[in-house]
Order: sequence, then C-alpha cells, then structure tokens
Amino acid sequence: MATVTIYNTEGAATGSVDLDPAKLDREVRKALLKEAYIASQDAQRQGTHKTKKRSEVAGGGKKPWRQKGSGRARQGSTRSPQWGGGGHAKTVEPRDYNWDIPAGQKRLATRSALRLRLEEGALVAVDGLDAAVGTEPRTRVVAKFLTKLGLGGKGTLLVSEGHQGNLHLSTRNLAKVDVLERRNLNAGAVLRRPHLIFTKGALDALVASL
Amino acid sequence: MSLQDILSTPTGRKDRKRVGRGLGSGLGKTGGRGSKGEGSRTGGKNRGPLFEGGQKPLWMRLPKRGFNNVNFATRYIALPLHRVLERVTGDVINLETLTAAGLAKHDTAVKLVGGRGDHAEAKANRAVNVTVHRVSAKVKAAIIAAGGTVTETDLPSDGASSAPTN
Repeated sequence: MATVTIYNTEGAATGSVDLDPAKLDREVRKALLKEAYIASQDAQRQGTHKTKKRSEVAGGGKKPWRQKGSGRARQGSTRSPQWGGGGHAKTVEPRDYNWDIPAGQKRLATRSALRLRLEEGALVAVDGLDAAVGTEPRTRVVAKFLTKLGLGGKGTLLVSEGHQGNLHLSTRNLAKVDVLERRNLNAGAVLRRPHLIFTKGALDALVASL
Repeated sequence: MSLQDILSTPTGRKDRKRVGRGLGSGLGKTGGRGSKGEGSRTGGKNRGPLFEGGQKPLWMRLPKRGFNNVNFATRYIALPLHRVLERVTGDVINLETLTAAGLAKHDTAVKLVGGRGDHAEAKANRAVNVTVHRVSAKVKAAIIAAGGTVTETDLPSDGASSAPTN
C-alpha cells in the first residue's frame, strides 16, 4: 500500500490517502510506457516543414546553354538539384506525425504511469489550490505552494477535476508546470514531468474510479 | 526511475533502415537491391500476390460464376424515429422537413427505423404525419398508435445508385 500525502496551499501535510498500486496496474510496464511516450511526443510535432523540389523553385524554364558544341556538360535547367539555387533532390514535405497506440494499451499506459509516480512517491495531492485561485488567477499562489513543497522550478504536472481555467492561467508563466484535467490524463503528459500533483477533487475521483 | 530508464527499455521497436548512406551501413552502394535489371529500379518487379510466375493463375483458369447484389441494392439513410422527432419540430415529416432539419438530402432514400439501446422501443411522443420512402413495421405501429399517419412513397428514380452507403 502506498500513500498519497495531501497538502494544503501552505505546503503543510494535512492528511493522506492510501492507494494500492496494484489497483492502478499490476506492474510498471516500462516497454508500454516507452511506446506511449514516443507516441505522445510524435503527436506534439506540428509537421509544418517544407522544402522545394526543382519544379517548385521559381525560374529555370530556359535551357542554360545549347545541348551540343559548348564544351560544357549538358544542362536543362538552372534549378536542377546540382545547381546552386536549385531545388532539393529529396524534399521535406509537411506531414502528420501522429500515430495511435491501441486504445486499450493507451488506457493501460496511463494507469501504469500513475503507478510509476506512486511508487516513486512523486504523487501527492493538494487541497484548496484550485479554490485559492478560484476567483482570480494568481501565479504567485501556485508558485509559493510549489516552492514550499520543494518543487520550485521542477517539472510538475497538476491534475484538476474538470476544467479549471484559473489554474491554467496561474501556471501559464511557470516554466515546466503543466495543468491537465483528470479525464485527459495520459502517459505522455505524466512522464514528461517528474512530479505529479492531484487536486483533492481529482484524487477523490481517481480513487472512486478504481 | 528517470525518463531515460524508460526510453532505454527494449520494446521490439526496430530502427529505421537507412538505405544508401555509406559503405559501413551494409546498405550502401546498391542499397540492398542487388545490381542492374528490373528489380533494382523504382517500381520494378512487383507483380502482386495472385501472380503465379507467368503460369495462367488459378483465378483466371476457373469459370466466372455467382452474383453479387452490391451494385443493385437500394441503400437507405436509416433515421431513428426519436432523432427525427427531436429535430423536426412540426407535425409534418417528409423529405422537405427532414432536409431542413439536416437529416436527409433531397435525393436520398430514407427509411424511418427504431433506435438502439434506450430507444429500441420505438415511441412517438406526438402525432405526426409521415411521408417518406420506407418506414419499419415497429415505427409504423408506433406512429399510428400516437395518432399519426404513415404514407410510403416511391423511391427516388436513381435512389439505388445515389444513396450513400452508411
């Protein structure tokens, strides 16, 4: 049995919840986590890259010199790949790097990633942080809380229950801090940040769902 | 466990072949294609799974027989009754009102059917006058039980070919 410590916004431990890692996944599936992480990283790629092939480079319509008699190698276009200012022989085209791991594996990977963080003791919870920024976004509130936990400047994923717009706004200017709704949890997002903090609501919902 | 530990886990993921990238790679000069001839060229020598080395393949040796209805079938847009009642506000349900509600197009063959799950028991919550191409028996009974009427019309002339597969 592993425990998840619950902190208040001042960084003081106020309670804990017992969580059986086996309920998340029976082991940390490293190979699966690797696949899920690679898929997630690939999905991040925009794929907006492009170079021009010879037909796309402007100009080059006129044959540079006559076919025979000049003493020079025959050339048909000033935009051939071997010419300076010519097109690329093999171009880079815009493309979609996204690929799916099977849906069942995806779900399993998410739970496995949570088990990993739980075993590491890197999974904690916070009570009232979403309420503390509930009315008005305040980066300093979140920053202070993270510093108190010794996580200032460290990679952290905050998991909220339901959309918490102000939590997003309050962490937007903190490097290496992500916010994600619990229902959008995925292995890639968990693995990307070494520390994982659930809001109380998200933790309760997670425990209830197991 | 760091991310590096996870990323260095063997998974059976294979490295991409990089053809034509130098002698040491083993796929250098001819890039694994041998030398010269059709097989070494782009697009060469792929004759498909039914090719039998030049011998008349089995599928050409046997007589053609059988029939497949796929080109002749009438295909309907199947509209669940509960969705239609939700989206069409008036008490007239015909191609015009369905089209206006975004449920059909003027040239599609439409059949009203029951729903799935909670809507498996077709029920009409109000009396509606229905004029469409086909109505399932259960839905017809439901509409009449609610005090409505059902008229089935001829299929659109090119219904068989223009209705989309769904």
